Amino acid sequence: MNKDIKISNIQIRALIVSTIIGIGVLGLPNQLAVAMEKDGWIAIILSGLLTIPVILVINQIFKDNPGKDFFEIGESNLGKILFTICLIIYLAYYLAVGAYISRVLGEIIKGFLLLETPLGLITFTFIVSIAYLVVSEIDIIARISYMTYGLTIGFALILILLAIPGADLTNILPMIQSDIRQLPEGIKVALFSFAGFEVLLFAIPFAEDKKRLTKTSISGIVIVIVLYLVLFLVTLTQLSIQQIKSDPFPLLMVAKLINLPGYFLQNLDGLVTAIWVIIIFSTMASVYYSSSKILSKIFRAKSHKASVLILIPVIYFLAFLPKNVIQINNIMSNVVIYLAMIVIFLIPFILFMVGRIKRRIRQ
Amino acid sequence: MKKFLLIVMIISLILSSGCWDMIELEDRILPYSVAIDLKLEKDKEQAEDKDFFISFSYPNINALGKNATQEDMAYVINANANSIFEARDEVSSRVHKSIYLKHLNVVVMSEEVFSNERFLRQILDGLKRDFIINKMVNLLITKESAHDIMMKKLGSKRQESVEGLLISLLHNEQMSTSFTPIVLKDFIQYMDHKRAAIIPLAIPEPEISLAGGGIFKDYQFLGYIDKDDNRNITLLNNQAKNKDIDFDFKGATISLFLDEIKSKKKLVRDGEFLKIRYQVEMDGEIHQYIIDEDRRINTQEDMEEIEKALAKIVKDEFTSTIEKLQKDFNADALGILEYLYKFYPKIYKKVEADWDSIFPYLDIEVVVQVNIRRRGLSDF
Amino acid sequence: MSAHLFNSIEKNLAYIREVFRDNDDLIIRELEVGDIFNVRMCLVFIDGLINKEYLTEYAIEALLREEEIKSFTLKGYKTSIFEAIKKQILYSADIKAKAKWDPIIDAILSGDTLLLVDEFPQGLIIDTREPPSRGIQEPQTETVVRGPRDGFTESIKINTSMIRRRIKDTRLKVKMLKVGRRSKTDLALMYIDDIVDKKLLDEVNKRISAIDIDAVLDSSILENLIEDNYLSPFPQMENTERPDAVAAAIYEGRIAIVVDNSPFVLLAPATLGTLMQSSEDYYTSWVEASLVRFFRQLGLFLLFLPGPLYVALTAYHPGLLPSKLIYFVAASRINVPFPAIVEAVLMETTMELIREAGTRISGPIGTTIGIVGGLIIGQAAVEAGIVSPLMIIIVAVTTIATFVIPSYEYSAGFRIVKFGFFILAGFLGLYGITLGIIILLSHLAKLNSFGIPYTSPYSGLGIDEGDLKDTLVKGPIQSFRMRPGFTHPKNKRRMRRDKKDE
Repeated sequence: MNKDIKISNIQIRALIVSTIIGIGVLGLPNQLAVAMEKDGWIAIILSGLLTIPVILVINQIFKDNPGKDFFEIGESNLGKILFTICLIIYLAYYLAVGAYISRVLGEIIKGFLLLETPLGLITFTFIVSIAYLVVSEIDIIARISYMTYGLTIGFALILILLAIPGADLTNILPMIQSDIRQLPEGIKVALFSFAGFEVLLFAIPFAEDKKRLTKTSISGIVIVIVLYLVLFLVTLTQLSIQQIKSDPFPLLMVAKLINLPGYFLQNLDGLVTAIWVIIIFSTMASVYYSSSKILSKIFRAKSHKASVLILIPVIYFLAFLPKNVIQINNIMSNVVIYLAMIVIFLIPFILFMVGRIKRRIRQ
Repeated sequence: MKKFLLIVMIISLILSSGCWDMIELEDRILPYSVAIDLKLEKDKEQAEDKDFFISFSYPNINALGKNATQEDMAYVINANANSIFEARDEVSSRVHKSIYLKHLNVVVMSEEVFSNERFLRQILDGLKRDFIINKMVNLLITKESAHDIMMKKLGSKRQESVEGLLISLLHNEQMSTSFTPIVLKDFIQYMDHKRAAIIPLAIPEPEISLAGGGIFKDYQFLGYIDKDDNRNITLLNNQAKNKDIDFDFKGATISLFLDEIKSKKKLVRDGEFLKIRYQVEMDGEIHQYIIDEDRRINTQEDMEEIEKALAKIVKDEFTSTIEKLQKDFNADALGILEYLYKFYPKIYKKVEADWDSIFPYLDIEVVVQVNIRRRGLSDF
Repeated sequence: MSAHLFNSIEKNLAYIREVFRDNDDLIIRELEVGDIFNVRMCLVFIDGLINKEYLTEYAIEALLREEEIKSFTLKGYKTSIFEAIKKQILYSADIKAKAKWDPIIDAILSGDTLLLVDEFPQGLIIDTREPPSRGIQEPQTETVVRGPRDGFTESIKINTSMIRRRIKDTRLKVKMLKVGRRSKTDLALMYIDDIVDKKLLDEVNKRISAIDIDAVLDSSILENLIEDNYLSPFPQMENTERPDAVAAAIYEGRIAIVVDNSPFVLLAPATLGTLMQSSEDYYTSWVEASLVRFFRQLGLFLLFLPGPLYVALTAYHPGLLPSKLIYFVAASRINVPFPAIVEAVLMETTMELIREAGTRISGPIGTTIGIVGGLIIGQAAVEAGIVSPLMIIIVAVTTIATFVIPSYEYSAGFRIVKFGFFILAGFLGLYGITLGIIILLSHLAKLNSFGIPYTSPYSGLGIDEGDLKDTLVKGPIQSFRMRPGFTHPKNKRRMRRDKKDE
């Protein structure tokens, strides 16, 4: 573990926020509307709250094993073979997420900005550009996250301000109409959009101020909850529920609708897409970093630089596995969701429990 | 260093094979309006399998700017096709320029196209599905040929807006409430909410203008309403704020300007039955009456008298429009069902299924409250 | 070889003559002092580096006139003649006795005078340095409307003294170092001991001592030698001609490196925040300074984005501009024979040529070049229809924006980056520009300045200390109670105010 790497608490908060907010945010209102109509916000709050225990567990793991990083803890708690299997699951998850992000990004860029350019080129240039960042360590990624964190929040604020003139607040009504049976589906959708905080596993060992870390990480989640809520409600005030249900990227639609008097700011959707690429960039950076770090640990390589290079073609080919948009939306995202359940919820709990039990036995 | 060179080489190799999307601006055509008609009689044989006759109108950039070299402000090109996109490709192969529809602002369609539900649904889906087309594109209906509307030039030498005639007419809506612009997004939203929508009607003669509109429900064309009805509907929907009115008062015509018009709908239950009450409030200003010693407007009583008379007239107007919507069209252009959905979800669930049979018999009451605030400079 | 001096003055002189062979500006003044014994002495110095009047008046005259010395014998009574000269006779302020050749020769080369006394294996170094230097003038590069008008000169002594005048504190340290095998350039590290971060100081010292080069002619060479990533187009140290800026930086816990023969003093560390600060900001009202800062940040984007955006918007995404605007842009490009990317690169190249020509030739010809280049070429290009008028406007705005950035090197970095953006925009449109921003951000985030993240405070370091108040905007001076956090100052508090003052 490199002692020179230091991440401050605000950077960790930013890391959480920028990693979580990414590909999902454009489509989230759509998926929530499909699952829960106008009551999607309940799902956002509930699944946001559901992540908090996981964050507490992750923090506790590192408090139980001070001075060790995730890999050392895993190895000592689970043993080499078992932990390697866990790492492979992690790798699969991160690669699936990375491929999913690259593919969806490519599709959107192709749709909105570059109609004729081959999808492969868009995806490839995206992965390569991020590889340039990912060869460095997590503190650099935390710095990038802090910058995009500011960008994300500023951008959301501007979008909201611009959307206010055309907003119809009564569109939010009626509230709380949906069936309780719709809730699990809604939570499943929303929970996936909270995936990303597991970057804490790699970040916490380098934190400067370990005492207030739990608070910081929870505050990160709260920021995400608020941001998601606001964006969901803004979408509701702009579009009818049927439209949200039928449009895969309602937020882009909201941006398209912005039309200020004087007709100076028109057609903002392209700009939004461009800024959104930068927001995704920080998500992809931490996903890519995590996957290359894991790969290098599986092969016990000292530096993860080689694995970054190896993973460029891997992510690229995985991204092109689904044949069409429907497969991306159904199969690929389902694979990601189920892997996420294991990786985010199950393994940290196992690590934590095993660690506690072992300690009990030793005492 | 070697690594660096390698990366540069790879990137330049990839990039140099490309520039797929680069089309210089002057090689593009950016149409601002499109007209869709059913295919013409004379083309029946040539284009057998095509449904529509589609024309694009775009500005002549040679006629723009300081050193304009040409006179004609706009061109119109057309093609027979099954969709806007087919027409686009067809036309663009003919003019050797790429057609880019992002700046499309108006879609004019003839009544024939609008009355065919399948066509309407297809065209709207195409517009909605496309990544490029702006979802704020305005819709217009015309009784005759949409192509003619597009070809229509202004009689006078008025300065034409760069963005085309129809757009400047549409943007002029603040001045006249005789029509209400509607954009694609709103139209689809209204259709989804079982709400009737009104698409402004473009009239080519004598001078091109917009007035009234065609009324639609569930993607079906129901008929036309005139501009007074249109204004009443927009006022009831709070989409407009003012209106001019004149009526006979004590043997002379009094003209007033009404503004700050606010309408509120409310559900009042009348026993078992639903009853909607519109509470409309407005401020008035007298523009013209008559110079006559006997007919001065000096006292509070005079004012109240005018207010009373006016309220009755306005109320009658509103009621007749509502009745037309209920009886003639059975079209809920006022968004009453949507109102129930938002504020009374339980009632909504009950009435939603047979709203078509409930709406015509719905008891809608209009209460008008006029406050005349000013009488101009004259103290008569 | 660091040999000792010899006893015999002859041998010593022979040694000096050997070392300074073919150095005809070396002057050896031989004296014989004393009535009883004529003690041989000699003064060795290099013509032009020293103040001859001073030497004549306070050394030679003292030696020849002083009564005491005339009665001295060679061995002396209580003290040797050497000690007597050192302690009682010479009037000079700064005298050092040295027994080894190396420091002596270094001293002679720096403009000191060596006094050799026969039969003594030691030499006296008399400080007579007066290197040719210009007077203190207003700095050329960083002029202010209001604020001090003195600027650094090429002499390290004058420079350090100008800084000292602003920090009258014993804890201000001036650490003298030498760098360059042959040039033996003097350096002074200046910092306040109880503010500066120890790790930062160690890092600077470590890097300077690791330098092994024959000559350091200017601070920029030193800068290149010790910066973190020498391949980056961005400067990782700040330089300034203004003593007030240096003093302010030292108060913030940064380290100033004064290099002899250079009027530019280096400041470490530098961050994106500090590179956008100008000393003027602190001498005007905070509201105005904030406004100016805002426009400066805007200028940073105008510096490299408009051209590539023009290419991307006209050639790739005409849909992203408002309809009215796009028709006029199209009309303005109607007869331009080149694609937008070629047009843009053509104009940018012309602009670079004009700039270079204007910089190398100063004075009236430079102005002429500016007028001919800027006005006439631009006008002619538009008239000829080779370039669209919009492009000329964009190039002009871009060029003006380069001068808005206080740090020349920083804006030059972005100018280089701009060409990369042109290529990306030419190939991938707006997406290419976005990729460019991603790579640029990654590059900036990877940069460090002496272990401090280059992107501070925008990447998180110093946010808690309120660094944004003095980077993004400029708050009122009352709000700067703490020193900025990015330097990790040992002493954090800058200002003490009671509650009742507010």
